[in-house]
Amino acid sequence: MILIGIIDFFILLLTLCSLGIFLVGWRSQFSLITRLSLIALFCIISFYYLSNFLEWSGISDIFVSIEDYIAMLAPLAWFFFIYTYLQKKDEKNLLENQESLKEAYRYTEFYKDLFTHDIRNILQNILLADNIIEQSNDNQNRLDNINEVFLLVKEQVIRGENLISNVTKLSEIRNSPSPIQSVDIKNVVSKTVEKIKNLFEHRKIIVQIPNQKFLVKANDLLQNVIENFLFNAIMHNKNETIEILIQALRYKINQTPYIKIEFIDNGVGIPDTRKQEIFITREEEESKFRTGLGLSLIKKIIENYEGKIWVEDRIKGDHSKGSNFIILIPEA
Amino acid sequence: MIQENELITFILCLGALTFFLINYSKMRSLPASLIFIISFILFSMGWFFTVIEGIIFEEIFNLIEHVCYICSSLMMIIWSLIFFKKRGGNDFNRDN
Repeated sequence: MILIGIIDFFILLLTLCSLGIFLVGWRSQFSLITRLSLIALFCIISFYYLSNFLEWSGISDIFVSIEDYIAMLAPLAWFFFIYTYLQKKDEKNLLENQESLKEAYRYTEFYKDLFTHDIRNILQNILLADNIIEQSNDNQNRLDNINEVFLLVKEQVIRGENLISNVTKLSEIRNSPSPIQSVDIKNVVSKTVEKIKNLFEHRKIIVQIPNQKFLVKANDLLQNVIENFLFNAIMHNKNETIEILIQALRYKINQTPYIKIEFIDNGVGIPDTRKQEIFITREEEESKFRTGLGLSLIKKIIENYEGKIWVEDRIKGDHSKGSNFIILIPEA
Repeated sequence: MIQENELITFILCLGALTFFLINYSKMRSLPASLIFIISFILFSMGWFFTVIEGIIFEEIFNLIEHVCYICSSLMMIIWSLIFFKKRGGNDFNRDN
């Protein structure tokens, strides 16, 4: 009996210690009802063990008559603790699924808007090309116009391809972004400029690129950033000669080293009222201010790099002379 | 002689254990869930021996019963320590 009394003493001690540990750290754990059920469990089994200890050590048998009835609540308390825990977990999973569904629905709507506006715009421009030919009065006029029409169609196809590429990249960023690594800006800019010049060989494009090597913390999507900047500079430019200056230099914000890359063009420019808005995809009435998916994608990529992006005027105070898109990317 | 209250408690333990085993895959999100379940199983075994001691080998099964309780309490305190060592990570089932 004494041995069992000693065993019961240690059982009681261990149970009270468990209760103490739980109470010390309880604020950061479980829902209120789960916490209460766990406390009730500890209290019930503590009572049962206390009753056993008093009985077997011969101190008192005051609780003997009721200990079995109280002990019946112990398995119920265990059950209730786990039940409430699982219930809350299911609720949390349900909420997360609802959020995922809402996000999926938002993206569906986004892609639908993209399709109805951007693709329609491209197809209408191609149709315009057809109208130009039809409105030509004679064969000679038609022959003169055919080159212009061909270039118009080609640009629209390039625009469509760029749109598809951007949509694919945006989806990739959401689902499985590429790891960040050390990237040489000069190398990426050179390759991208060559690619864009080949696509737009019918346009006269002069691009100046940085001649110094800079390493930044980026990934393979940096090429898409530069492509989109160059693409926008060409598409929103009515000049005979398209001039794009790309320069890079070191920059610091609060002792954090960045590489500042500027894309300066002689395009149509962006009014001050729109400089904040352009990075958000939105339908616009005038297609020359339609910035589309490209800048949204650029912003998302730069944000993933923990960089910054903004736009200024090429000539301060006169937006019509062109734009200066500036990005900051952490230096590697 | 078998006590009715003890038998009822044991049956309740079996019922709870069945629930835990059916939902064990969901319970695995609870840190050290296995230790928690073992603690309960030892507690239930204690009640099993409480019922059996009324029929046969009273003293031996009574001792085993209390040994089961102390092992259950040990498992419970281990679970508490492991669980709260991990609490710096995620909050589980918090009321928002």
